[in-house]
Amino acid sequence: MESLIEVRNIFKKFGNKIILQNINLQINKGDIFGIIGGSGAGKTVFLKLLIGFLKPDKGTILLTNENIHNKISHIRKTFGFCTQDHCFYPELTVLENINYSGRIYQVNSKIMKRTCNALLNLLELESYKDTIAKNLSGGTQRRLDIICSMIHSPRVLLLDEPLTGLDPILRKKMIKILREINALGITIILSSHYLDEIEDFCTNIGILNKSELMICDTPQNVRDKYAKYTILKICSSPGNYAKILEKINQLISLKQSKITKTELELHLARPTDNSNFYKIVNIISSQGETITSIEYELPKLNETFENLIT
Amino acid sequence: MVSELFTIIHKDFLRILRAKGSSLIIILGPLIIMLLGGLAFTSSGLYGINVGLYDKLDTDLADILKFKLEERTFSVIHEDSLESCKNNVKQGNTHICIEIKERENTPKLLEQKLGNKVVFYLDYSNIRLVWAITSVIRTVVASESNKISRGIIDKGMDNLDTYTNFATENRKKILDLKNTQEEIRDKLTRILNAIDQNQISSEQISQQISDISNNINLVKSNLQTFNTRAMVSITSLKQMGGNSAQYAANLERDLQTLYSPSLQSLNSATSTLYNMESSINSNSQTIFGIKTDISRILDMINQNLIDLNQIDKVFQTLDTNLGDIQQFDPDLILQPIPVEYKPVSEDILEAGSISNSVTYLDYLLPSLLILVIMFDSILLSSILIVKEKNLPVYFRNMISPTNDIVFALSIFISSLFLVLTQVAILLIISSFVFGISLQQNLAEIAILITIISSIFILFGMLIGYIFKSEETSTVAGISTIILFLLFSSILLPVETLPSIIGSITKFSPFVVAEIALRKIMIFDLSIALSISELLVLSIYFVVLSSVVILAQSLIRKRST
Repeated sequence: MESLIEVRNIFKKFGNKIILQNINLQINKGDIFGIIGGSGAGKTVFLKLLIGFLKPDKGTILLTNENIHNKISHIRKTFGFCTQDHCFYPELTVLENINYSGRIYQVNSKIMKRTCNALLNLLELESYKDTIAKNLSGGTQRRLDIICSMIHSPRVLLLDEPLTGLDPILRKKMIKILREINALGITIILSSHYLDEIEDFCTNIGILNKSELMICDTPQNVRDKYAKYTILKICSSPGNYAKILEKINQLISLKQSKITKTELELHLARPTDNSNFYKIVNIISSQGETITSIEYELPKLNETFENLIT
Repeated sequence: MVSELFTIIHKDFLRILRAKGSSLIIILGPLIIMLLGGLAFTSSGLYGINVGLYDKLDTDLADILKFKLEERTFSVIHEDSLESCKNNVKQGNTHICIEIKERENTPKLLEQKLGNKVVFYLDYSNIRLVWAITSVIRTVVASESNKISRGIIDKGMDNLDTYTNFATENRKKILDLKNTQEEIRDKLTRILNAIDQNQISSEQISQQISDISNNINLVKSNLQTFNTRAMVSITSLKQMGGNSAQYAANLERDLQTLYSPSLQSLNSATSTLYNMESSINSNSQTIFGIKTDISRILDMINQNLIDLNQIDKVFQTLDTNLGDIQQFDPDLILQPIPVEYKPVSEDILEAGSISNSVTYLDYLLPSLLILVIMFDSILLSSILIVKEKNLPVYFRNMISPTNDIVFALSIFISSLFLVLTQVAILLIISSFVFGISLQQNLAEIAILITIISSIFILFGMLIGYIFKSEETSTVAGISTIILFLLFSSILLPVETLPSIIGSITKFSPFVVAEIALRKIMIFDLSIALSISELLVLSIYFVVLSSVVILAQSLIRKRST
């Protein structure tokens, strides 16, 4: 994979407060990189450092092996930044906002028209192009924000909490759009609280905690390495789950358990002992139950993240 | 860069115009200002002024003042005491308290009105109103005062007439007296000369008498000698006898008959001569005494004439002077140096007069324009910048490759356009609705207004860059405006400020701009004659532009 951005030993503080330290990571071309962290972990500062808006107190950030602060005005065109707030003028129409963003990024009129149409089409905003921005819904405003960030055809699109404030359907739609953008060859770097949604979407994630980058890996690897328990979902017939659970609890120490109408969910501490697994199957069978299905999975990234930072 | 600039300016306009409030303010703001300003200043006077009048002496002057003030639509309230009169001013019930009191050390012979004194009690916290009211009341009192003065002067002039006539008459008498004296002097001189010419001195008379006496004595001696010799001869003859003796006897008898009376006559003549000499000597002394007296009289007459001449000269001077005074018009004495106030520009009528062609609005328009420009420019540009800074989209501007100068310039141009639009609306309304005459030099006015607006916009931009919130920037903007107003001629003339502050104030952009605009708008002077003001404004423009660009760059740098 071709390295696009390389962050080397970044240190940043505001006043006496250290915001980021010892940050080292690499983002490859075409990646969808997710920055995860609690509130005040320094995610936004990290994104602003990446685009050269903020200068690190120590360390360097390289874009294709070149320090971003050496050619800042040129570098600016490389990035598209979509902040948490809506970066457009609410009094202007969708099209006016897009044109404005294109102009300040010195985009040629013809190219801008073409890109604008493509982006309006991609983000399904064609019908809103003459609508005053402030009259758009939250999700549509977010999409307009993305178009404004992309009108100059950046190589890297940075999104600060792009899913915040969107309902689940819109979040899914947004993820779908981002995938499509990524499919255009644009590297996406985003920060988010919605870990469940981005774990399937990001190719790599970095977890910020206490000013430091705790982990930087693929979501799967992170879960594998850091999940504290395994989830076992069992369906059996006739399904006397309460009795089964009582027996299991007598023999095995469970992190958590849950009974639903259709299944029994057991959280087994990791590293999972295979003998416990056999014990559970035996207990179920001894209770005259016929196992219809058993699912084994790791907890969602959200839970792993919680475990990591607590 | 130009296309970016136009895009940003276009965006600013769209934003302002789509915000209903802003667009209403841009169009309605100047309309309202001009409408209110126009209605307020097309005619100007003092209305609803309450005057407290306290007159313990119940004089005619109080009635006259009341009548005159009510003529000027002042409301006059009679006060029972000086305290209540002053308290009403303090409480704002009246604007001024007038006390009529007795005048100290008034000559008794003058009429009763002159025994009064007018005292004004004013609330100096309301200084402009005080000036306006006192100006009117002073005029009223001065007019009454002039009437009284004129009466006194007329009386004086009548007395002067009497004195002049008296002087003229007496001068004639003095002249007559002088002539009589001169006549007496001449006559006496002639008498004296005549005495001198006819007088024989006593020595001369004595000598002549002595000569006569000697001659008589000689005659007597000769006679005696003759008689002796004759007697000798007679005796001889007698001795001859005969006829000779007879003849000698006859001769002797004849001789005796002639000799003795002749001798007696000669002696008597000598005695008479001596008597005559004595009389002449006595007369001579008398004449000498008379001559001495006449000389003394002549001396006295000469002295009198000298005195009379002097008196005549005094009367002559008095006569001339009184004549000169009599030629005076009483108005000349009332106002020896006539004072007239005229506008320096001939097409504008006297200050304070209301005419169909010229109104107070004409005078006030430059100040009003600067005021509107300053308010608009400072507040508009500062709010535009702060609003922009506080928008999330500002972040996009900051991370864009567009130059800082373009953003600063776009705000400047947008603000300038809006301010100039407002000023244009204001001028159009002034011209069409209130009939304010816009002179021929409209282009020069436009240039100057553009320069002035630019400076205040730059001030506003600086405030916008310095302060973070709209509230603080508005407060800072208004504070700056107040500061400019405070140190201008709007509240108090700059000339009345302490010298150091006054000299600094003269360089205030508001003051400089007002002077330059007044020169062009009121006096119709060329912009070239405002070169010093233009120089100061240009310095402001250059310095402020540099600072604004620096501020914009600093904001971007401080963010990074």
